[in-house]
Amino acid sequence: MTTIWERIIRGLGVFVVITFFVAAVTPVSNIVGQKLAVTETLQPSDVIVVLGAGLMQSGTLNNESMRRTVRGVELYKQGLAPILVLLGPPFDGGSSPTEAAVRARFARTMGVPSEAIIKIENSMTTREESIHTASLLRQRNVHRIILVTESLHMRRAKLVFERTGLEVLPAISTDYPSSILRPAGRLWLAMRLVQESTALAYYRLAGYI
Amino acid sequence: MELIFVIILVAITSVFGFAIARRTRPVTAAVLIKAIGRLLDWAGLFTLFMAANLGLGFLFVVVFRELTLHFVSLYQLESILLLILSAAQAFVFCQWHNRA
Repeated sequence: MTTIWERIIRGLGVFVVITFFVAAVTPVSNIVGQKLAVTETLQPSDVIVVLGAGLMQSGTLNNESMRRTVRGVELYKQGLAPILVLLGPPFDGGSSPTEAAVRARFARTMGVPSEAIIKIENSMTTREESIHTASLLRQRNVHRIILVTESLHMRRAKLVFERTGLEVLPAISTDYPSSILRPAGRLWLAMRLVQESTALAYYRLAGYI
Repeated sequence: MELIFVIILVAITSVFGFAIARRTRPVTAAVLIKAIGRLLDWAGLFTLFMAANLGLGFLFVVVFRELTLHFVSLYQLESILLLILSAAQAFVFCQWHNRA
């Protein structure tokens, strides 16, 4: 004799197994991801703002942080803005060099002059990044920015930065929905979609966007 | 290609496992169907435990942020350890429930 709870749990199991295979084998995650992602709009602006993505414990940039930095430097070199704003706190909020400092060193190595680089080293969340960046840029009378982050994070980032009164032009560091095609990658993409959708809902509920 | 390769590997080891198991115990189709049912029960329980752990973790982080000046990232919940421990929780709960 099975109880209603046992039937619910088995039904949930069936649903999860089917969802797992659909997410891994079919392009559903890619299609949903493309709907959530924001496309790039590039025009000359006042500054290029490169959002933080994290350091490894050794103090080196993680993969996503490196991709965003490279994209920021590339846009600077194309002459789209005269200032490069690099963000990122230290690893685990400790006293080690900040992500912004490591990125600034990399940007200088790539030929960006020191006077063109601004570091923001104390922002822990996307919302804090928007507040700290906007308060700094307001003093410089900046209104239009090129925002660099990955395509899934861009929707939330763009909305929270626009909330501060800035005009935001999105520049994509990585377009995951169109670049991931293997089953394991698709599962990771499905997880990122859940994560980013939850974060978007949280930002809306909290009134940040 | 990756998917076909993985499915071939799993199919080969399943057939070997099945053949070895048959030598020690009689394995019928009914027992196999029951085992698949248990796998689905485990998957359902795993989802419940994972959701509960994530929900509780989210609550802890938000309350901690509000009550103290320390920042704790929600990305702490993006942990492979949480995934494995949730799976273990579901497995033990399943075994306990089936034998109770």
